[in-house]
Amino acid sequence: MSKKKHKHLDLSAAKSPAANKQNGLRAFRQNDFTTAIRLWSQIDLQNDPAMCSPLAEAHFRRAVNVADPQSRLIDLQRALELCPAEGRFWYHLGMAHHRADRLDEALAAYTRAIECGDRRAERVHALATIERDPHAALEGLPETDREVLLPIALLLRGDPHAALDQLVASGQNPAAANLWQGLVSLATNDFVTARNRLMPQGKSLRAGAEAVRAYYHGLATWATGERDAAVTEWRTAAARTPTPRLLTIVAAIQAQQLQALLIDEQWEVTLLTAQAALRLAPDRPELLNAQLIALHRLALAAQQRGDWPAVIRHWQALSEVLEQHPQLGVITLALYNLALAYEKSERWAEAATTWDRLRSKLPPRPSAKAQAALQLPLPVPEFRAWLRRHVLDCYKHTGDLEGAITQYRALIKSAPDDLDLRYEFAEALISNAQEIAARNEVQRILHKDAKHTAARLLLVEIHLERGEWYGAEMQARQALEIDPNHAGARQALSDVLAERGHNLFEFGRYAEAKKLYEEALTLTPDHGQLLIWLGNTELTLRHKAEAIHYFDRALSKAADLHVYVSVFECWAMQDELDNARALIPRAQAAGFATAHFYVDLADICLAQTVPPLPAVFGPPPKTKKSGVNPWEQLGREMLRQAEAVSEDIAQTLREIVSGVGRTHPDLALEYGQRLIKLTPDDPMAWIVLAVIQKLAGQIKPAKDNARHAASLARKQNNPQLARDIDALRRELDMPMPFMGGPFDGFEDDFDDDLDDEELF
Amino acid sequence: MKLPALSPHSANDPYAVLGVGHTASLDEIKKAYFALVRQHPPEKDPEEFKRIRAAYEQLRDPQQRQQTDLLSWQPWIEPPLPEVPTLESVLEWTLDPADVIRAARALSDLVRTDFREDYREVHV
Repeated sequence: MSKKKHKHLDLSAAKSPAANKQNGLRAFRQNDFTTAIRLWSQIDLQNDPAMCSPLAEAHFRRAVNVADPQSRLIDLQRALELCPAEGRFWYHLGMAHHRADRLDEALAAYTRAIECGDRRAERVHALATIERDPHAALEGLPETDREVLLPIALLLRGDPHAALDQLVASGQNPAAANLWQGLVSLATNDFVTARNRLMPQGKSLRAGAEAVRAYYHGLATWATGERDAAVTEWRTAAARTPTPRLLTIVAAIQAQQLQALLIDEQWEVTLLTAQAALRLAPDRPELLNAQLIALHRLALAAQQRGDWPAVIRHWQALSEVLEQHPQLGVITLALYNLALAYEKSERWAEAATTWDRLRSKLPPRPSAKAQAALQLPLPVPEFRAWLRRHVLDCYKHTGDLEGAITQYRALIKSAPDDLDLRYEFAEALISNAQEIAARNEVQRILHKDAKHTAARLLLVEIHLERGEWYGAEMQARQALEIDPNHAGARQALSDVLAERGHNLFEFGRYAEAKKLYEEALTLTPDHGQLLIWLGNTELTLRHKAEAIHYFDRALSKAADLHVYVSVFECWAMQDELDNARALIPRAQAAGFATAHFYVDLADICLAQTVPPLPAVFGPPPKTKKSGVNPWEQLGREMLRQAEAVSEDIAQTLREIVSGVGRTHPDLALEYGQRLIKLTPDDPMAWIVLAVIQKLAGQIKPAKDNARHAASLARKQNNPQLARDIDALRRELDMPMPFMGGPFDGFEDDFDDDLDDEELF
Repeated sequence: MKLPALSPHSANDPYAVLGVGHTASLDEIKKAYFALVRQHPPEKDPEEFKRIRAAYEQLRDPQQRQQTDLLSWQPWIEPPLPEVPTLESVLEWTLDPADVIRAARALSDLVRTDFREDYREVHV
């Protein structure tokens, strides 16, 4: 029969009681009692009462073959519902209760079994009776049962001598008789007889009886002076069937061993021994303590040598023990160190999760005593705030802010009025480029507290990010109105006004730009960039004296190399060579005249000699003068100065090539060749030269040098750089590479793998 | 008996570099720093001086010190060495009724697993 056909028959059979009977019988005979029960349970037993017996038998068979006591009980009860007069079912139900120490239920079931004619139940009934009350009368029992049970009852009554008399008369099997006689001898302090009677007897005793024999034989052996033999027997017996007394002894033996190992500072061995002992006797405090000490010491040693995977492993194991047994130590500090270990390994996601686990362990408002017990470096509220920011930092490291955002959502759900939390959430949303959600969150904060200046300033930031000048200005003005002395609010409004002014300047609306810059300056009088912008606006409006005034203020208030370069550029843009040149000795006197400074100035000067890139807005480009261009002369002079003061000539050459390459590829080529001579093994120098050659129209040398750069990178075992160079080589083949200037795309391409200094 | 104490901090821990405790005041930190600088002047021992200077920089500013503390290993207090009982003290010489019952049960049907004689044929 084909498989398909067989399946079809089965499906149709599911609807037919006759087929269910037959399929159930087939399953029953294959010992698949679950299927038999399922199929037979679909039959209407009221119409077909003869099926009660097979169904009960299936439940019974499953019950005696299942390991789970609860499932066994349910099956036996169902079997008895179907066939309440089956003595064997009652017998097994009684034993199921008996094993679980439910003696009353066991006795009731045994009684029913006896009533149904199962005489086996008499002995276990008697056993349950004396377990419940050793003084119970045993007179009604058959003689054979009485012979077996009376000595046990007498032992339980604490009368071993009477038990001994009874045992002599009993006709038990030899192994059982020896066990009882050995126990009775031990109870009467006859250790020699006890030892002989309790000698191992092969496999003639079942596990529970064998464990009892071994324990008391060990005692008799110990009492007769052979202590090592006793210890060996206890350990072997505990490994097979651990009884409470065996476990107590073995735990004591292992605790002694562990203490010796701890004192010898054998942490690894201590750990392994403690773990093996705990598998046998879980939850023993002395074993757990030894395990914790070993884990702690191993973690500290790993910290000392910077072995972070080991640090993680040990603090993790330690935290797990403390999670199970909080009374043994402070789990928060274990989690703290585990999180730090993850950070050291740069496993940021796990660090964040661990910090968060630690956060969840912190009590909401701890008493002074609870705070001290936590042993944290900060009081709980401050620590919680730090933790929140720190978890966010961890998520930022992973590059996946979703995790942090999910965390924040959960936290806010449980503390909706925690505005600091909401503020941090809004910051996380901004970092995750969810500006609209961030704006909504900030508005929720402001709805709850209109004077929350930090939230309002965040709103300014969001508006600015989205180019919403008006919204940004309105919020910044409102923030300043609420708190006129708030430095952040003053700065924010100043920034908004400056940005707006800059925007107007780009559109050629210089007078309006100037007005905004002036207002911004009243808020932040030392704002260097603002002073430069204002100076530049005045210069564009031909207000030279005012421009000089602002430039001087910028140079005196916030002087650094970039301020000098910016002011120089303003003069250059207005073709004011003398004023530009006058800045150079001032920068030299102020100590800013580094090679980098001169390269920047050269770049600005040389850019004056070529037509500017077409600007969309702003003043029209000035026509360049014909003849020897004084800007070019000054530019070349600056390049010479850069080389003269350079402390790292290769670096300066790279800067020059990168700077002048944009406007003067021929000049850059000259410096590129010099760079190659200086650093012939640097693949980056070769690729820089290749780019310049391409810009200068030297296609074949450009390709050759790019190939050489890639080959050098491979030889130097830098496959990532080689791949990047190969990508760039493909661009060299294109007709119009580097649209935004020779190095724009180039720098971006390498941005992920190299910093600027490495590139140029 | 106690085990020897072990520091959780590495040799690069700024407190360890300056040889002060984690609860040291700013004055104590300064004193320790200047004493070390006298021992390791920059012109004689530039590398060590750099290390000392870096440690001092981390601890002189309260905010930076707090951040350093927050990102430092935290001392975890170990449980005491386990109390170890002697074997004599844990030996129970009396007969445990639970053991008597365990043995009695083990000699009865209660621990049997094979009850095939209780199975009955089924007819449907």
